[in-house]
Amino acid sequence: MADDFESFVRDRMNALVRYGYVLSGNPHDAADLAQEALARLGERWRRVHARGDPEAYVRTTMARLHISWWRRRRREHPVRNLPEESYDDSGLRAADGDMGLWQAVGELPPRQRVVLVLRYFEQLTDEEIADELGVTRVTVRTQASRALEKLRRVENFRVAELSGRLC
Amino acid sequence: MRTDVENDLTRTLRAAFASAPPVAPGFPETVTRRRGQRRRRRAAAITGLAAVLLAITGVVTVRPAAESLPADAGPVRDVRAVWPEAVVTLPPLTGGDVRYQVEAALGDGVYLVRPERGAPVLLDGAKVRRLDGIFPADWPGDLGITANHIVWSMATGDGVDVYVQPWRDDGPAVHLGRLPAMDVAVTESGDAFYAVGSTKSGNLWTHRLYRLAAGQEPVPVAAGDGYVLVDGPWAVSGVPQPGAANRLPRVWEPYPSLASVLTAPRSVPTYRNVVTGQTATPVSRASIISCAVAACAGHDGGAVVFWDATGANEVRTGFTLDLRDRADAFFDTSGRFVQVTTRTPRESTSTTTGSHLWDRTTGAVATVRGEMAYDVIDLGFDGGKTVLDLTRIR
Repeated sequence: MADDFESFVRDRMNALVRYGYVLSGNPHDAADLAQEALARLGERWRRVHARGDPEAYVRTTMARLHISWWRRRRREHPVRNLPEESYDDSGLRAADGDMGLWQAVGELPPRQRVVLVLRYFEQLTDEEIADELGVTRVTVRTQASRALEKLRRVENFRVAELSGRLC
Repeated sequence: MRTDVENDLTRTLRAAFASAPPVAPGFPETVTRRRGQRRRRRAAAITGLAAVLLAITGVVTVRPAAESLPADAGPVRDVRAVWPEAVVTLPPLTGGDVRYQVEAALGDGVYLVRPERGAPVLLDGAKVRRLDGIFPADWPGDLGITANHIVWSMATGDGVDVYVQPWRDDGPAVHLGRLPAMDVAVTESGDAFYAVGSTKSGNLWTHRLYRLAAGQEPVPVAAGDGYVLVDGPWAVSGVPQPGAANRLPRVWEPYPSLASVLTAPRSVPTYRNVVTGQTATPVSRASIISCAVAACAGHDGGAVVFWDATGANEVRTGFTLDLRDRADAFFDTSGRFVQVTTRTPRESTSTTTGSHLWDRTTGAVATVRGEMAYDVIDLGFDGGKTVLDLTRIR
């Protein structure tokens, strides 16, 4: 593990920006999240490094930042999915397939989205997610349940649409 | 046991991680720069607090950090020094809620605040009126204000439930109805409520206007379709995302959002009153940064200009904006006060480079750290939650 902060940034920036992309769904916010979280880590580097897992600290900060940034930006009425921000990747498109799940995840409220990322990408338990976000387990389950319900509707819709197309 | 959608989701998120765009060049340097900015902001905040304490004792005039000033602005004071009568320190909430955001100044010392966790709260002097009884414990919905009511919405199933509760008295909360939409904005006219329900398909938003009344099914108002509420009953068309009449700040957001880069000025909006059908188009006096129904903010070659929507009361300030920046203007409900903020372009770090509050009536200007909400600016926590209550400067 990198001992100094600058080395840590260089070593882990790719992974952290990728994580930011999973959280936010666009490359600009991904870089923004990673930069801000790293800047905060830099202020506490000795203390966090001494505890042994600075990357976990950054990821937690990014998840929390994503929720709070979204709240602030919503007041500014940002446009979602700006043409300038769109990012198209054939690999992702293939993984997303015809279900449109990635797009549907992008349309979830950020808190729901973060809960899903922590649960299904980070593979954290609901208790761990609750600790990370400073909420109760009931909140985590509620958010996850609502989000999954929306995603199921999207999948069912896509399946029905595809079935219709094939008939 | 995991369901199909859960397995699909894991696969999709992993694919997104694997195929994320590469890190832009200069990333480590940007992190270093942001660390420096955070250190300077912290130092400036400490200096500002010390200055305010000195100002309270009448010894010194507060000056903001130099980095937040436009080049030719000259000495501009902090809002605390310019409008001390409007600076209010609010009490902590009971139950251990220390951190909260002030959403609205409702007049006569009543504030709507949103704790970091849990339901919104009305603060009336030292009296705290909790709204927990009507909000679910973990309420994830949207909050708004109309002339007489707090409005909140909550996505449930395949729609959005809309509720209102009077904020002027202790009247009960009422379920106004459920709209087949993803996002809802509500306005109030007499005994009626009107709501725009917005739904997104792909990148395309569609907007439907409804008339709402408690105990009745929402009634579609076809004449209002395609419009998005942005300022009370006033709406604009052609906006690609929902804006809320009662979600603040009250700002017109054109398409595309990046038009707020000053070199790509916004076009003049046309407003439609969804209740009366009346239309209004502000007169253009300069390149528009943003408009409310009552007034516009713009720039002429970078110099900040304000004017009434009728074209009257034009004020050309000595402030010059950096045309490479993004700028936004946020008006209070009267259109008298306007906050102009500038940020570096999104491609870098979106750092705020300036934030000023103008009184269009008196010409007074001050620097401000905080964002305009409903007639209030949350100034943060300086020994207590502090706000600038614009209703106290009328």
